[in-house]
Amino acid sequence: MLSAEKLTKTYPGRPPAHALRGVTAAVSAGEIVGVVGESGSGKSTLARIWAGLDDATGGAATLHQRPVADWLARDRLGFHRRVQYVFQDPVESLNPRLAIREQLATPLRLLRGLPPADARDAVGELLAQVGLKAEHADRHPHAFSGGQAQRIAIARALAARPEVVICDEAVSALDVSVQADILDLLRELRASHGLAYLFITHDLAVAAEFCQRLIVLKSGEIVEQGAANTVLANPQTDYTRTLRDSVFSL
Amino acid sequence: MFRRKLNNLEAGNSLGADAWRRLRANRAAVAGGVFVLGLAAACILLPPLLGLSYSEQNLALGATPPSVEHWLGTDIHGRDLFARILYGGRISLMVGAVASLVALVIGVSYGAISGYAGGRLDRAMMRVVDIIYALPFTIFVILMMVFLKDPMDRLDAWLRGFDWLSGLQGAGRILGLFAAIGAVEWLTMARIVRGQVLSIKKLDYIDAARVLGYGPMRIIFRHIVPNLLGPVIVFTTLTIPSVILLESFLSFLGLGVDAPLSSWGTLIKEGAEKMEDAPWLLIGPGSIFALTLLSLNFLGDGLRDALDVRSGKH
Repeated sequence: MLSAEKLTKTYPGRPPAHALRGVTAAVSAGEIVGVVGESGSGKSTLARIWAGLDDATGGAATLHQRPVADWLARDRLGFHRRVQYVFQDPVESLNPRLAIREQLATPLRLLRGLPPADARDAVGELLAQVGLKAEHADRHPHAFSGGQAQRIAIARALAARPEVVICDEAVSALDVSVQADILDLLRELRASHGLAYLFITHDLAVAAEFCQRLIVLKSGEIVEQGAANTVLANPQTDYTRTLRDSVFSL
Repeated sequence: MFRRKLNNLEAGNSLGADAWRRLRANRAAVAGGVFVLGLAAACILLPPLLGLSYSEQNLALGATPPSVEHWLGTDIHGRDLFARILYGGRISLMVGAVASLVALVIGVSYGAISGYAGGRLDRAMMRVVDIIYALPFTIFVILMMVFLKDPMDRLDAWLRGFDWLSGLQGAGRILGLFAAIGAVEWLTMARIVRGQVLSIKKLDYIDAARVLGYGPMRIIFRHIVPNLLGPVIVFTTLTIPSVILLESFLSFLGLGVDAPLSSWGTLIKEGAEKMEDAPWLLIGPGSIFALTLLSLNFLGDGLRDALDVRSGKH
C-alpha cells in the first residue's frame, strides 16, 4: 500500500545533512511495520514524507502505486483520508484553544463529508472507541492527562477512517503502564478497523512487542529488515545487536 | 477552593468563561478597564448632559486656574478645559481605537499569511514591509493625509447634504486620519505576528491540521491566529497611546483635527507651551492621558494573562 523506492532526503547546508540515503521499504494493508533506530537515523523523516508533511529530495514515495506528491496535487483530501498520523507529544498535537468536540468534528466533516450536526453527534462515538466518554468532548486539551490526550489524538486520526496510521513515537512520551494501555487500544482498533500501522520508535522493546515486521535504520539507510522476532533473535548487524542489548540489559 | 476547581474541570468551562474569570481576579486589569470605559462614557455622555461647549470663548476671562465654575480651569481664550478634555477624548479615544483596529486587522492577516507561507512569498511580503518602514514615518503619514484630503473632503461635503447626519460633520477628515495612522502602525504588528507564526507553525498541532487535510486559510485563521492573541493584545494596547500621540502631531501640522475642535494631543501641546504661566493647562490633559495609558497597559497585561490557556490550570 505505502511504498518507498530509493527515497532520499537531504537538508541543504554546509555540509548538507543526509537524513535518508536511498530507502526502499513498504507497508502492506493491515500490517504493523516498525521502524527502529537511534535518534537522527531518519525514522521521522521517512514517516513525514509518507504522510505528505515533507517532500523527498529524490526517489519515490507512493500510496497505492501513485506518488504522494501527485495525490496531494490532485486529491489532497483523498490522500489524507487514507493516511493518518499520530504524534509523539499528545498534548502538543492538539490545538490548545479548541474544544475536543471541534477538533474531532472538523475532520469528520472535511474528510468523511458528514453534515455539521451529524459530525458533532459522531464525536461521542469516536471518543467511545478510544475509551473516553462523550462528555469529555466539551473540554479543552489542557484538561487531559498525556494518555487521555493520546487517545484523543488517535480518535482524531480514526475520524478519517484511514487505511494506515503512522505512529511517530506515539507512546514514547507516556508512562510505561499508559504505554501498555495505548498499545492495547491500537491493537483493538486494528482488529475492528483493519488498519495498518507504521510504528516509529527508538524503543526496541516496544517495537518487539507490537510489530510484525521491523525496519532498522541507521544514518538514513536500512541496515536490516525482516520479521520482528527474527530480527531480534538473530540480528545480522552489530548496530541492531547494540540497539537490542541496550534495551534488554536494562 | 479545591472542590470548586475540580467542579470547573468536570464541567469543562469554555475558554471564554475561564478567561473572563481570570481577568476579573486581576484587580489592576479590572481597574484599568473600568477607568477606560468610564472615561469613554464620560466623553460621550457628559458634554450634552452638562451643556458643555468646547468652543465657547470668554476672552475677558482668559486663562484662569481651576475653580468651582471651571473645574480644571480655562485656557487663554477663556474656554472651559474640562469640556475641551472631554471633547478631545472623543477624538483621541476614537482615533486610538479605530486606527489600532485597522493596524490589528491588516497587521495580523499580513504577518500570519507571510509567516505561514514562508519561502519566496514571505520574503517578498516582508521586503514590502521593510520598504514602507524605511520611508520616514511622518512623511509617509503626511503624504497619505495629503493624498486622502481631497476624497475625504468630498465625503464631508456629501455628508453635509443630509441634515440628520449633521453630527458627523468633519467625520471624513477623521476617517482619513484613521486610515493614515493605521496604514503605518500595522507594519510592526505584521513583523511581530510573523515572528510568532514562524514558531507556532513548527508545533505538532499545525502538522496535525495539515495531516487532516485542512487548507492554509483554515490553518492560519483557525489554528494559528487564536494562539498568538497574547502578544497581539499586549502590542495593541501599546499601539493605542502611540496612535493618540501621532494624532496630536498630525493635528499640529494641520493635518489632523482643526481648531477649535480639540484632541488630547493638541491640548497637551498647548499646555506645554504655556507651562510656566498656566501649569493647569498641561496638568489636566497630561494626567488624563497618562492615566489612560497606564490603564491600557494594565488591561493589556491582564488580558494576556487571562487569555493564556495554560495559566490557572495544571
